Amino acid sequence: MASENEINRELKELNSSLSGISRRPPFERDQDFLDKLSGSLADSVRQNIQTEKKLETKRNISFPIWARGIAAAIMLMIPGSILYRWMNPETIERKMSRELRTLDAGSIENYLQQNSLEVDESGVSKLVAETNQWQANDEIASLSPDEIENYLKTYPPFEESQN
Amino acid sequence: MAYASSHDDQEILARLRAAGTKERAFRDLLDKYSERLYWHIRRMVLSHEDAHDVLQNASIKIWKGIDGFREDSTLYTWLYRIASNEALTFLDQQRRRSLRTFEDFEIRMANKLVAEKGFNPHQAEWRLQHAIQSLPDKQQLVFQLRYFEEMTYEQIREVTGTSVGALKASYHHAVRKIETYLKEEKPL
Repeated sequence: MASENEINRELKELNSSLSGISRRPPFERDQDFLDKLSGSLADSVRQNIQTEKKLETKRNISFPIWARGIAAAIMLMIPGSILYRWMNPETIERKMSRELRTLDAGSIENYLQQNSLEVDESGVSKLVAETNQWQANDEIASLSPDEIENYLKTYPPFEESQN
Repeated sequence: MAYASSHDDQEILARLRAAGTKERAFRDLLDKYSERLYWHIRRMVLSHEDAHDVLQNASIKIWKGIDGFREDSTLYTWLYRIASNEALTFLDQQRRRSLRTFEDFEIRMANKLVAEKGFNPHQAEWRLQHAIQSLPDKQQLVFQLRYFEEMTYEQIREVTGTSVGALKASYHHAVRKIETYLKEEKPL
């Protein structure tokens, strides 16, 4: 491996081979541009920094912690409640039964047809029967014991009235 | 080439660190170094527009980084380090873009040189520029700093972070290649 002195001597020789070539860059010099260079650079740096600061300020606009908490809770509650309403099968079942209870047989049939649900006649009558049963249960549940007694007297159970 | 007096740089640095005088000191710093940094970058990226963009980015980094400057090196070499890194990053991006567009990066750079105003393929200065373009980026940088900026190896070490021995070898290879190129008198 060459010593440092050798390298230095070699470099001197190599440098001398380039010595006839000017070290001034051959590119065209725009003196007007060069005269204004430092000023325009300082201005563009200032503008850049100001723009960055503005953007940072916009990003950092802060709300009190309680406001952020409320916003987060609302943001979580809205999709949460939607999910709960639409994804919870029990809720859907309850909703369906509530809707069905308000419908008569004809409306149920229309509903099934509109929604292209294929239920045969026996299915429809079963639905209607169940709906009536729910209605009856609801009605009975809202009555007092005396009223139930009167009700049973007025509308005796089927087997009793047969007898 | 005359180097910046370190006394001046110390004074500018002190004013840069004081909030009230920072902006004025930054202007003074650019007054002192912007033209030299511009030519250093220009020799690497060739076109005026690219050199201007790279110098702007370097100036922004200088402004942002000045508070963190720990004086492990001189202010002068620190400025050159930022400018050189910006120029190398720019060249790297251009090279990657060329890869994506299947364009030969070296030919593209040579075309940039040929398109320069006043280009003369028989003039030694232009031939030297063309020869420098044929060097790898890092070798090119070392050559520019040593030959044009007349930095000592110790200063180049501060700019590039490479050991003095490796720098000497790099410069030696660069000059050998340039010499061969100039002797061959390849058509530009």
